[in-house]
Amino acid sequence: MQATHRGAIISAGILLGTGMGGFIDGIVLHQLLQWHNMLSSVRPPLDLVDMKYNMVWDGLFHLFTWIMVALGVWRLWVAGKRPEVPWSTRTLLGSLVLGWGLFNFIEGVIDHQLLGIHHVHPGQHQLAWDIGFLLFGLVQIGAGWLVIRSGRGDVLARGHAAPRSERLDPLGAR
Amino acid sequence: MNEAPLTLRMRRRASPLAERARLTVTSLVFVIITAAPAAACPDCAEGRQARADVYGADFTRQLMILLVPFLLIGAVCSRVERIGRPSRAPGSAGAASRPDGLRDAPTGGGHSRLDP
Repeated sequence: MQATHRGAIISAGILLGTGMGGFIDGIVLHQLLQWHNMLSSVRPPLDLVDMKYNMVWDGLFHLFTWIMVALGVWRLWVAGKRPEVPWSTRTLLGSLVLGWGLFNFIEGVIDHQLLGIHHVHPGQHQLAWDIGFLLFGLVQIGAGWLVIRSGRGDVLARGHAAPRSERLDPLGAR
Repeated sequence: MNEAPLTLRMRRRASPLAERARLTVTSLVFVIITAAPAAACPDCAEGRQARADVYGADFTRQLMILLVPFLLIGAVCSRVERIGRPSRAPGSAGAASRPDGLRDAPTGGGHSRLDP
């Protein structure tokens, strides 16, 4: 039997990619660089009260990214138990990148461009930073899509992959 | 030259009980000193002000705004989940012929337009 239900692993990967990408965003941009705070255009973090205000909203953002990771792990666990789902590393890796990019793009369009509740790097060149963020998201989506495509031929379910020794030495150790 | 034996002698004299008491007092002082500023801010005036602002009238609206990208990703995932899923028609030949209820690979019918 060929395992062809790729959607199960792709959707798990997108959820995981969204969550893990959200964590990178939150840790690197929000906390380490102190940019991109959740409501920094509504309440610029210029004093302690406004910093604490943004900190709470950044915390809620992290909470939802954690939920996405938890959902992704659960969907991946379920997918791994189903024989019709191909256990493909390329499909999962591509989906992770796709999910990260998709989230960056959607979040960028809604929060930066449409609602303007925050910007990547508020200040003089904020539009350039926002557009760069969107382009980065689009590149990730394209790259993820290509990697998923490259795994189209992977049709073995979990537990049915060739043994590691055969994969390393396709002719067999004779 | 004489300092090292003196130090050794002093250490030898301290009883285990005194050593424990000294450690306890040091720890207590350390905790009191470091906990004071940490305990001050969750309940300081700025902290109370920030909490009141966060959970004010705009909280629900801003929470919805924060949720929108996550909900959209969830919607995309529920759509993508169908890619390649074998059809579940009750009378399908694949379902009937396999005792474990699994089907052979679909020949194109199970693919979504979203399938990369």
